[in-house]
Amino acid sequence: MNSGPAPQSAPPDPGADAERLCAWFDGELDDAAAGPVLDRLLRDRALQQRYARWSVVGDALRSSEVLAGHSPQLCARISQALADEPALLAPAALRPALKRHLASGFAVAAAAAVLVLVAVPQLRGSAPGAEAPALVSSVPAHPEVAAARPARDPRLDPYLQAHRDFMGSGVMPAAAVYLRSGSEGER
Amino acid sequence: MRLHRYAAGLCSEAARAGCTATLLLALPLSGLAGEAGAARDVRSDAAWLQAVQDAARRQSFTGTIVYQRGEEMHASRVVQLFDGTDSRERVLTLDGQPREFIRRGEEVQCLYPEFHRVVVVRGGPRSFPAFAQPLPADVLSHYELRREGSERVANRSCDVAQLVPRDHLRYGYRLCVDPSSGLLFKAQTLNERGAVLEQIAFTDVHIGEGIDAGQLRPSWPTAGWTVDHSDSQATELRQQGWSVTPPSGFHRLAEVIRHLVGGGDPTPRSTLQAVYSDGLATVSVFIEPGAPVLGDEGASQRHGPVTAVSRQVGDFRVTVVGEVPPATAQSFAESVVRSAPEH
Repeated sequence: MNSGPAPQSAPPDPGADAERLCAWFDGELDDAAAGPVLDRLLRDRALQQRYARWSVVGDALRSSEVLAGHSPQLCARISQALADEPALLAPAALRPALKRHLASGFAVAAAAAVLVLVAVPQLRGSAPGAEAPALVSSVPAHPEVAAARPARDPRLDPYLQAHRDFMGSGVMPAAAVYLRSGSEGER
Repeated sequence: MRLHRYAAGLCSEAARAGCTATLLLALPLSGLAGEAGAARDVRSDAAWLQAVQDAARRQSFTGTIVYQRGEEMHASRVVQLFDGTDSRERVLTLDGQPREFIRRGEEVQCLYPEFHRVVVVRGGPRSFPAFAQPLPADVLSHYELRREGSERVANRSCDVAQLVPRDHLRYGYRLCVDPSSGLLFKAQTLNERGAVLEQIAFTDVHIGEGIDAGQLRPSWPTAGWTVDHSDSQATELRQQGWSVTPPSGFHRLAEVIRHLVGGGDPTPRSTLQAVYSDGLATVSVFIEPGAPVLGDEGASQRHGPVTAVSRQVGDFRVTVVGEVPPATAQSFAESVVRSAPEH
């Protein structure tokens, strides 16, 4: 994977951009190399959409069933998954005009919520439909780290379960309390 | 708002945001158009919330509930029977690992068929009456109730209401209530930009008579299964040498000592758990010896509306879990102070 910085004057090359984005997504670029990718990403709407798609698909890959399966080959698996990427997921995250529909369209809202888990702070300004970063750290999160983390940290399971015993006080029905943690580990 | 009955109240909470038909009729229905919201007497909003809670257990129904958060979507079969005095409930998950939750009174049995295991949970906020529960007026001082027309859910036209937070310390909620039964048919948790963080809705529901009590029976014969009890013991943080200063609007619900199991640690460990609520959102603060559970000092994670923050205080790990924005959870975590333990 080419990890050298892209020449600033390079003409737009969608293939090369995608490759660098892919490498960055996989955490294979150092800071110097990642800078131009981020710059490009912030300017290039097509690239933003591609990023959003990968984020969604990447997150789908990290569902609980494949939680343990994450590896540096994520990018390859994303490419594979993109082959049958649901068209529905693609543009929703990046189009603010669709936000109204997000609230009412169940499936589309699901796609938007999936994006919650992987959106990076840098994209917030340029992607109004995207959510705040799912993973916040006292050290600013590297986007690729955020993208690579499992959707649920098993170390939190005991706490989520213990918290569950006192929930149901909110608006969400208590059934949600159980559904929330339905896939969490056993007591 | 006296909504804090035991968390394991299962699906009766589905009815909580409903209100009785009588009370609904008493409300200015013109408010449903949206304009009357600002001028409406606060007491009528409080009455609405109170009715929501009062109605929670007084409906019998059976239906399918779909819950969605992030990439997760789960469906459950839900039955509640109200006999005029008590309600009993049963929730059966329809996808993933089979799970069943059966509530009778304040006791809930959680069935894990593949392990032939039953976990019995008792207690909860109701076991700690010393702590005052937030009232509707408290809730309304932190959330504004807005009526927003109607929406079709489970083939019925539901009244839509939003609880809009008055500050950035909490999320908002959007509710769809069946006007004839008062049952909550759909609820969404919204962030500050109105994006849906999680949602739950009936896809089909039958309300009222004709529900067979046999539907409350466990799906599996549990004779011979291992029975575990998940009990917590009341304590006082101060007595344990700790103090937590919750952000504005959060009242303490419970302070307990309990055992945590799982998370890669085979031995159950004892932890302090302090629970806070603003009437809608709940936050738990866990304190126990050890390094921060998420590794990095101040690290946090979000799963839909649930934020988890971990922090180190001396030799202790502080873990905050709650359905609140990250800054609110951080605020809880940073307020944890070791005080002089009382011997």
